[in-house]
Amino acid sequence: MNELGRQLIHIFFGLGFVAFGAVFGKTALVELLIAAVVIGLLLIQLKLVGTSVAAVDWVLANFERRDSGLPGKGALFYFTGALLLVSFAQSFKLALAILAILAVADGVATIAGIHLGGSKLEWHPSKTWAGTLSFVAFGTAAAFPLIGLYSAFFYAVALAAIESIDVGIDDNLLIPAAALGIAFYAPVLGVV
Amino acid sequence: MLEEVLLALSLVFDKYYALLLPAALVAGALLLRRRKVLLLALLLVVLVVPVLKEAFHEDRPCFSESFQGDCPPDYGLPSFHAVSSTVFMMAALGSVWFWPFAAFAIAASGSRVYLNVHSPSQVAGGIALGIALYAFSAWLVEVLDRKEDSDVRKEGVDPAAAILTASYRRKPAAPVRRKAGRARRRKR
Repeated sequence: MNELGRQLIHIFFGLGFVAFGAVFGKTALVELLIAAVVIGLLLIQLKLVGTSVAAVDWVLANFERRDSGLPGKGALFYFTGALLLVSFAQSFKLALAILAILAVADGVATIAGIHLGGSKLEWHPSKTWAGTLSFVAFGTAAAFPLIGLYSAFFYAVALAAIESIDVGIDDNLLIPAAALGIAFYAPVLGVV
Repeated sequence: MLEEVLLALSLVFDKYYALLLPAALVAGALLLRRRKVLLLALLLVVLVVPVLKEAFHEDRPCFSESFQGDCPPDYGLPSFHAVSSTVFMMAALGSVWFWPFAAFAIAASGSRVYLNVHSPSQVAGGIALGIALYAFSAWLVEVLDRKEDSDVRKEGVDPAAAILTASYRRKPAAPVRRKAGRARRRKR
């Protein structure tokens, strides 16, 4: 599976969570995500002790990055990050908006970075300006129906900046954690 | 019958968690390979959870006059039981001890919802935070180990620092031994 396919699944799952949360509410989304995290952990454990589960092996062979280390790490951290957001965000709408940014902007930025190319970021040689600007544009577009244009743009810019720094922590955990930290101080700036 | 068992189990986790947690720590330190990460993650749990409880000041579901029983006085988000027990489960991932530690985490977390001292969302937040803190600790230990390795390569082992950090585990001797072996063979 190429990076394009992986990112399309990333976007599809993220928007699926946003739609599920918008329709069924916070409690139902928390239950869905906790089930995903627990089942994910159990499957990772089975994989680590050498038990072959055909469906899991197929998913890992087709969707997992070669350098991910722990099998299923990307999916586990994606669900965990989403659960962190939904549980800790001061408002459920904000949690959904950040989830939308995480899903759409992060996915599109990777695709744009690979397919458009262009000049690299000075502080991160494997990321491009095209990817970072796509993150801001698509992040704003994904979040503004939930929290308004001003707040959506603010979060998209802030999270694009954080995503562009290579600290070595998985983006799926770093972005939600950073968003929660920013949300704590955001009201001072007139942001949701 | 099931109700009584669940209630008894929940009360054990409620009243004796201060004993169960150190017992789990001893078991984890003896049985698990990733001890350093486990200890760092638990230290972070102890430091971070009270700060988050105060920062988010989300009431527990038992903060109502109609609740009968003991309601802890601090805030509810995140659940300390859920965060701390999840860290053990993460440290045991990949070993045969995962299953008992997973049972411990599920029982500790579930008991809080069963006793109505935490909402499902507060427990879910605790589980997510436990995974995140464990991942952060694993990353931090890896970064520090890598830095220590490069420092040792550059400057050699400083005995005083090595005693303090208990890191007399660097083995620059391996290639030397091979050379010595080759030299011996050549002599013969």
